[in-house]
Amino acid sequence: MQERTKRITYATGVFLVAVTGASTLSGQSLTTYGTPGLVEMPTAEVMNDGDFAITASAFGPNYRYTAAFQVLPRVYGAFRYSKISNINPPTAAYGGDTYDRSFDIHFQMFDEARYRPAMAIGLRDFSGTGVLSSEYVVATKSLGSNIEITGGMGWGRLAGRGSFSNPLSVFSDSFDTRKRGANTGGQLETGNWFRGPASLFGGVKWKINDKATFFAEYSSDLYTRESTNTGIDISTPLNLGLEYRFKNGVNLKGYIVGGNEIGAQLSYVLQPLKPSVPGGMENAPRSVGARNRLAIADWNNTQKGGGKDAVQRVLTSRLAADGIELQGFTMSGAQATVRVDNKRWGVEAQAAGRAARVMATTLPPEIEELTVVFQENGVPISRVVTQRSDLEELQFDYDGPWRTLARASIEDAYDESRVGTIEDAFPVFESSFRPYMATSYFDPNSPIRADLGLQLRLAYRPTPGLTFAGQLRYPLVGNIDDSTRVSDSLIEPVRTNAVRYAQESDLEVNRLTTEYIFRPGQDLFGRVSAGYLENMFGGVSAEVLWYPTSSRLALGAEINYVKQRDFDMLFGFQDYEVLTGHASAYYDFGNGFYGQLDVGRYLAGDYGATISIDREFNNGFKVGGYFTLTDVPFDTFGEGSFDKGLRIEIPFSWITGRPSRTSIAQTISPITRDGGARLIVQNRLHGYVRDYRGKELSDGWGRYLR
Amino acid sequence: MIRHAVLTLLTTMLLSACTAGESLIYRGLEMVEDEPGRVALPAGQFPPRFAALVADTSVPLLVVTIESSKQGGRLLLENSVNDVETWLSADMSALMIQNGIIRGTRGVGSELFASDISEPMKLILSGNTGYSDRFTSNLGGDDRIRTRTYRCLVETRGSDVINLEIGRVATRVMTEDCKSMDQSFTNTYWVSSTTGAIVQSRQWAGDEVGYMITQVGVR
Repeated sequence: MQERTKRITYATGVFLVAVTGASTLSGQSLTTYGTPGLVEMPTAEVMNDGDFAITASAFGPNYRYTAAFQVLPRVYGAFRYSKISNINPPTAAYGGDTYDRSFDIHFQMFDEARYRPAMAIGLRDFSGTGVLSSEYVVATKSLGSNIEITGGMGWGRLAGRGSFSNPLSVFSDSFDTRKRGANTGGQLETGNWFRGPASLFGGVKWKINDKATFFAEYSSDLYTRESTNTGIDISTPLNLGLEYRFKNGVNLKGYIVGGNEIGAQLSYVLQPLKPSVPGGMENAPRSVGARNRLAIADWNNTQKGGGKDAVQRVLTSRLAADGIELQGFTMSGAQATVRVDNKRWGVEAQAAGRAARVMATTLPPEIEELTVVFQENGVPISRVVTQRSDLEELQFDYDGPWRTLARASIEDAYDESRVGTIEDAFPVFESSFRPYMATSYFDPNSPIRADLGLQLRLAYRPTPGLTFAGQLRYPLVGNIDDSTRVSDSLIEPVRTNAVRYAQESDLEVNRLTTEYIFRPGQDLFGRVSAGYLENMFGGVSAEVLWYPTSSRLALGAEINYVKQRDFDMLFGFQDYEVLTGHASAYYDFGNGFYGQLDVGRYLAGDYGATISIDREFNNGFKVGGYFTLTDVPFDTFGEGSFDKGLRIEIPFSWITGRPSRTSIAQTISPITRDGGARLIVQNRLHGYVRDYRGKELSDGWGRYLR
Repeated sequence: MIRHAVLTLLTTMLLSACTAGESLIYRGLEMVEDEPGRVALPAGQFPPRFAALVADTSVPLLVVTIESSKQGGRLLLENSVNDVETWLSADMSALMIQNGIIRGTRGVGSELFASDISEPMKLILSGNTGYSDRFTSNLGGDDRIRTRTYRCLVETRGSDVINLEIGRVATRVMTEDCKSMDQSFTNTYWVSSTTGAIVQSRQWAGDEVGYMITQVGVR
């Protein structure tokens, strides 16, 4: 016996060493460009899958703010907003400073093996106006566990020092020359990639201990364009950096670029798969069982005034304690149904599990089949049917979540009747009065502008699905209306007058609408909205969505007839009116990737399509992007050439550990122009119902018994 | 310059809360977050579910300490279903325990969702030495259940007299030494020589929580 123990211990020890040995090249050290690397030069490293890194760096005239996302295990992308002070003479049309938005992409071709370095290819600023544009091929190898060496070849910005003629010219002479970008920005500059001369760069990263890392690099970037006006002093190719990692995960890095320029940067890496409290901090659920004791509970005992009404009262209060509103209740034979509105649980399967367990710990013992119908604003979406004995049997089973999923049934609830509707479920009156903050980004005179004010929201819902709602805002302080940006649009100015709306309004009527959401048939959802739909447009909007409960695919169509609102954001309209609408396809690719295609006519009357891709982690953390191409030519569109943006959504529960349906969402659109602009309508159907359809419910089933 | 950088980084991180479609023009930061149905209690008052157990002085008590943080509490037995006891804490977190052996945790982070401990349990309670299999499932940060399996050696470590709130108890000490591909832990159980029940234990509840100490207590 003793012999065997020893052998097991030994085997485990060996395995642990192997694991430690394999975990090299974690690219958590970020450059001034906010992507994995040394001081300025890239390495072949990547971040951990799904990592989202935010970096702010500054040295000399350069300020760079970058968000980088590890889209796939081998691919990361980055978006950057940068400022270079005084790069132009102060007499230039837009002043001496330049502001630029840029995108990077990096692909790791091989990861590191015993004798082979990791190899990667990447593009920096591949679509902007090109000040930061460069391309590289780079290799990185670790020597032991603390030292990594990197060597690479760069083009564009990275081909300054000791440049030589492009080795790719052996394939074609066109690789010899690199044009300076002259378009409106935003387009893929494929014609310049890997063109022109090339240079070599390289460096060393030395991990001193768990907290500190030292960097030394030979930089090929000469800062030629900056050197004319900014006074940047690059007198040596050697850049040095020292990074310190704080306990809370913040990285502070100081460096010297070119021998004279001292700089600093802060960065933080968000890990979507690591919420603040894995498993959450919510109340422990009640365990299910002891049906015989429920038989003598007061509410189930007719001699003590028990019966359906008494049961309903107990259910209502117990569900409410779990953040679930009871809207309808029926019980007959061995079957009971609750129709509920989930107000608390961000993972809907958990709401289903909580509701079923409240039923199982309340209802009389003869009830066996428990049905939970999810409703949004009183409209039935899906139902989850569970057997009470399955809950009793599997609640402590180590494989309980999988086995309960196998035995549960998730169905479309289009045919749900309104029998048993709780008397005071309707009408509903909701109101909220809160402070708000509105922001506006990327105005070159003041890249971040904000307003703070008060916001009033009111909603009245006389019957299921029918809602009269409004939102008013009153800005108290802020500088959005100080902007001097005026619309220079060559097409109908449907979005570029945002500043005029801010300047000419006082009390803002953001929305004042009547909305009806209904179920026209099996797998079908409908919506009609009318009124002041958004800040800039009012009119009518109608939508239909086909979404079978177990389907990865959903299809929708929307048509709107809208008129542009007055700049005072009150009740008047301007002359411009437009018929706009889209046909949409939504698809769940699996592995957390979701796609959406919208084809149709946009607000300015332009025709085209929007493609969106999101990577959504199972806990609801989401990072995505979209772009829209329409029949507005790139040079008519203006700066940026076409509409595009990135978005991130973080569930509140990811931050706080407490269950919540609220999330923090931010879309960053580098430039908002008038082409490819879509009407904003509340409660577009796919987002409204998706969380309660079968795929999402089963993805969240890990929390069903939580 | 650094101030500029820090300020901008913070502002970038101050993403604004809003419904999906609203974000293109104005983005609102909704600063107050509600959790519907959750009622804030006056200081010093227990949630009703726990208060009901406090009121009933016949309800058994378990003293639990998380070894690494030295945090602990006095848990009360809420119910027992199919031999699995649910012990509730005043903060509404809970332990699921069968015959003194932890089968699950709720609300203590890095959730030990459930376990199959039938094999080691037989050995521990009977005082026998031998190998057994233990299965656990954890609810991870991605809201998925991950199942793990361990090979555990249960051994008798002699006898010990320990001081508990219920008095001095003569016990037989049992250890359960578990290993998987990437984890290992050793649970220790003190089994009462008179009642044959586990009166004290030191049990592992996962990588993040670490070891928990349980002791039978007095109301």
